[in-house]
Amino acid sequence: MECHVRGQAGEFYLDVVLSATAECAWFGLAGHSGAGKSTLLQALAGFDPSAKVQGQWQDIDLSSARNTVLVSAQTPLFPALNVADNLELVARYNQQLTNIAAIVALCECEALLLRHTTELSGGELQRVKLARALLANPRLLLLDESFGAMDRALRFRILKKLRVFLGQHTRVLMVSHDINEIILCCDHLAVIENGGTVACGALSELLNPEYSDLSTTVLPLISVLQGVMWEHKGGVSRVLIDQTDVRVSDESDAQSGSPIRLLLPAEAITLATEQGEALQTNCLKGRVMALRAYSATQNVVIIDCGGQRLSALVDNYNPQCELLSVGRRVWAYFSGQQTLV
Amino acid sequence: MEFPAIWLTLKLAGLSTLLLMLVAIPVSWWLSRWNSRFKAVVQACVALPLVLPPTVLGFYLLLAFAPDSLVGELWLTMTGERLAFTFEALVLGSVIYSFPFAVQPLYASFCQFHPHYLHTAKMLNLPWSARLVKVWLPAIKPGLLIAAGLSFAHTVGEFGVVLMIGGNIPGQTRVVSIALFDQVESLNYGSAHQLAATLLIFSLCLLMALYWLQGRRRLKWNVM
Repeated sequence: MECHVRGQAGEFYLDVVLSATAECAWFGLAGHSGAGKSTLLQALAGFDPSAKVQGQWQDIDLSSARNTVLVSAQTPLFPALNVADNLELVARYNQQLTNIAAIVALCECEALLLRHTTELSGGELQRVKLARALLANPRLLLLDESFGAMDRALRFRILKKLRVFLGQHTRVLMVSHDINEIILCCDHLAVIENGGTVACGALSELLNPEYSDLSTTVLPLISVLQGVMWEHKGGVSRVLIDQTDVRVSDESDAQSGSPIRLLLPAEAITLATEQGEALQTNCLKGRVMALRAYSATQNVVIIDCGGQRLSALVDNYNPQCELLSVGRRVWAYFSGQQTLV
Repeated sequence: MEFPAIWLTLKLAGLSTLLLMLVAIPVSWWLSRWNSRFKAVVQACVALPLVLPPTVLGFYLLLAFAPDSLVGELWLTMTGERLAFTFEALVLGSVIYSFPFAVQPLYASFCQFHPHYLHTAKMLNLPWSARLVKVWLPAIKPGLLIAAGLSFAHTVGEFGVVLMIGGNIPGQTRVVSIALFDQVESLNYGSAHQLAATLLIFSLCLLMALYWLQGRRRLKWNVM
């Protein structure tokens, strides 16, 4: 996937280059508000005729904006029609009438069909907009903060269903302020600042602490650990990471034995240089790979955990920091209040 | 009761309203999407009939419709008839005289209609007919009704322009307001009362209907 978008809105200039491997199906965009993410998506959707778009994503020609559907605050529902008529109108002209029931179920809009568009709450509006967009049978779906008003459980549920539903037919470019959403769905990520691309690459590389300068500004310092789902019982999931049993209280519908990822924010980790009696549910052991300044008062410690990298933060004025040196054995303690994706 | 005059008035108002809608919709749409420093000049020209005495407009129209002027001559060669003091002249004069009453509600309604609606409809592969009927028309319907209602009412109520370019030819240019003036001149107060009351009640009902519509749809129009 290669994409180059140039545009101008008043004094704001947009010049963004995105690239990813060909098989990338979901691409995430992060950045501060006002960075140009929405302008970029609107240019790709063909809303701004003065913007110049070049690029190809598999067999999709990005410059034509054909079969490209944007879901954002700039794509209102048609106010003269109720929810069902909004969906039906779009489905009829895209030969999707037979798919209405499935898409309505996916977006959990069954109870909203007879409502008027002005009677919907923010989250309901987003669900109906998503359903309407899917009924246009897009090849490229552009999601601009399309889940922000939904609660976390609903958002993750719909995103997971959406990934399965779209499969390889539809490519997705997704803007979100919630990095967890991007980690859940996307395999590639770009960070946009002041109308330009700051970083672009595979998710596993960008969340890597090597990019710690980036992490402080836009991306949170967060480790993604690969594991295997062991069992799910009583609201607690047991995941095997590096032969260690990790227990997390996150609802996950993953099957036993299937691969799963644990999102571990750096600030959730307590480091210990001796195996001790910390009152935390989980403990991963590893060796210090690198140690460097993160902020004026914090150092980031990069730990090798059986081949996977983990980053933790320690105060640099803590006298015990001296105990941490490259190659030193450490234990990373964390609670079970983490996210599985 | 002057039924021919009433019928002529309704015919004039109906025909003028129809023509006004055909002209005012594209002009208002273009005006609402046009940004230029000359926009104020165009807006002022459109609004001129609001402030000019009808006799001023009527005077210039009379000059324009004369057989030796450009418009009058063109009409003469096209139809073989004179334009001034005919029903056609009245229709033409009414269209110009009521133009701002049609443009202003439409312009307000078009300005409120965000381009995102049409962009979205196009993006979702709706054909232009569906965009027109399901998205555009419902959004501008209140503005359209108010523009048509105001144009109709204003044409029914015109006097000065008609007097200048139409005169008082029964069945041709003798509309209700002229007939009323004629009856008063001949001290025929009974008939005058009938005509005056008819106009008063008609205009009141029409305006009440428009204001009720405006309140319900929260649509703004800047005539009053």
